[in-house]
Amino acid sequence: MLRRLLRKIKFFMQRNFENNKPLSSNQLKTSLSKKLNTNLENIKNILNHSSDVAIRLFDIGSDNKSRAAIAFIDGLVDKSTINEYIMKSLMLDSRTALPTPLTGKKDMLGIIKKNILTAAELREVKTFEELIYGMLSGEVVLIVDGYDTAFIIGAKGWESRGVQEPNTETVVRGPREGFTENLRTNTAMLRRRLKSPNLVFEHLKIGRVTNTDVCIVYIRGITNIKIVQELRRRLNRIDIDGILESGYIEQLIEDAPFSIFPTIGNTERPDKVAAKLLEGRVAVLTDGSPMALTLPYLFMEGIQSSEDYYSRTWFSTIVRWIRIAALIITILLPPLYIAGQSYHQEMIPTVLLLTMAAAKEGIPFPVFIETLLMGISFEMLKEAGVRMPRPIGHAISIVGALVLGEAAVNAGVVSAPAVIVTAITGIAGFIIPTHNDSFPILRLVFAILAAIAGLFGLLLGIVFLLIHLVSLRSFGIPYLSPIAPGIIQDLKDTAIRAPLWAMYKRPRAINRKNPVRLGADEPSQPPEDKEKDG
Amino acid sequence: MAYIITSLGLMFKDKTIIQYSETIAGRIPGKLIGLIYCGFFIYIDAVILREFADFFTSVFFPETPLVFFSISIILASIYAVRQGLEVIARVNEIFFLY
Repeated sequence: MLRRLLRKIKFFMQRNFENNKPLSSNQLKTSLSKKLNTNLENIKNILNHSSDVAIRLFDIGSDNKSRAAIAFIDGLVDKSTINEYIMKSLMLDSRTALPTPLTGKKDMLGIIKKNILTAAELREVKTFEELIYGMLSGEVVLIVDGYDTAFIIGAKGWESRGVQEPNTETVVRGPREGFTENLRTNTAMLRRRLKSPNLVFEHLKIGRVTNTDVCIVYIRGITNIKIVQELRRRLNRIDIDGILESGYIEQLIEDAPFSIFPTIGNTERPDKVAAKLLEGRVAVLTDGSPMALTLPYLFMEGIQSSEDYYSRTWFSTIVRWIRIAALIITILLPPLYIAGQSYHQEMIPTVLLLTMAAAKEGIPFPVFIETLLMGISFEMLKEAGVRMPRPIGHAISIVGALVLGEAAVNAGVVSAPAVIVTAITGIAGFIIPTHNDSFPILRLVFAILAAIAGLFGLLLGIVFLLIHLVSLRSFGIPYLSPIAPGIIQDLKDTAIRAPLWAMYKRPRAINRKNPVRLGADEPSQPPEDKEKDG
Repeated sequence: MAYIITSLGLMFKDKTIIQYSETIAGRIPGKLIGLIYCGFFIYIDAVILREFADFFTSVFFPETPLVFFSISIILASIYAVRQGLEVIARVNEIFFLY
């Protein structure tokens, strides 16, 4: 009986022993003790005896009497750095180095710092909080017995993807580099493009559990500081357990969370971010994500591409027109087709009408259902193509093209014009990738409106859309500027892409101070005799 | 007329026309002026709405009831008004090209 009771108590105690409570902040706030063993025990306890914590004990000093230890998270550090520049220096070189052999009596930490350690990055910490966060972000901790100060040595090195060409925004002309998942690499890529002391990287930590490093980037003197302040305020307000991608931040700080239009842009290209910074925008880099956020984001940026500025004016302008046409087609073509077929036959030229009527002969569905079916199957194909492994993706496109295109028409399920309309709409939608999320929704709403009330419904939809677009703001900047509010000067970079020498001022919509970006002496003329570098 | 309205508006900066007409003309006449003012706009709006709906029913959709067009365009107007004066101005900027 007694034994059973004892066993029960034992079981109970064992169960209680495994606590699931998060670390209290007091435990972190304590400062280091002078005893090495206590410190190491504390580190182990705080990190809950995780299996990836590595601790190496060794003796230092010429008389081998002082004990020291390094602690790090396995996998986050570069082992060869530790071997070469920390362990070797401390254990071998310190004994041979003259004139200050390491003995137990003198100020050992000072000697280690000044004479022995050959690692470049080094700082002293006194509390477990700094120590643990240093370890968790991949730094090595060195503790010497008898001192309540620890060294944090930078030896970060983990497996990561190299710099590659970005998949989302490929260009024919222009740099091929894309951001990576590593924040430091990304800031370096920006710094390499903007070698200016005015380029500011502001560091923040967001996420109670993930402690994600987030960087606000702007150029002092060009950026409107009010936007930076507003961004800082919004970022500091975020209280979430984890930031896994910059999309989290985007959704938590955007101006119009219920709108279908993005009010914060994202890009994978460092050159694009650099250009946006030069225009006076602010960027947000997130550790662990190759997508940088840029803000304020205006509607017109959707039809701009970094390549526009690298190619020559005429070509870029034509491309801009094509994009605008694509924008209109991808939203309005299916609704127009529905409205024309079901209400406004008199508006279609007779010959075309006859052809379409002949194609529609014997089709069991009304136009709206037909277009809707094709639209939905196109969106499905798109989604399947993205999610599928690449080799299977080809199979899907073949199935989509053959089965949906050919067979559906031949079988008389849908008419050929509906297939054509869907195909053109889909292709046009791909031309403007940034707004691609909102297009299917708009298309669907407009198609329903057109099915209900023809062109009148479409007109109503456009009025609603315009009112909505005009009411949006991105960090205080009207979303539709420079069209409404009309800023004549900024229109040079919308439907046309004026020559670079003609766009001698930065966009007025974003910042009105420090506007001149091109040679102040001869602003609005092309260089005549002498060659000038951009 | 425009001059009178502007100068009155400047004189009573934080009040609407209905509020300050009471201060100028007294309580009952002021309310009456406000009523007439509202009535004027309701009348004008009704006429415009009717014309608009009539146009659509007679030209494009002869079989659709008149109310449909009135209600739908009123919904659009409500949305615009809710978003504020700036939005109305901006939409007009787009429609009438500056």
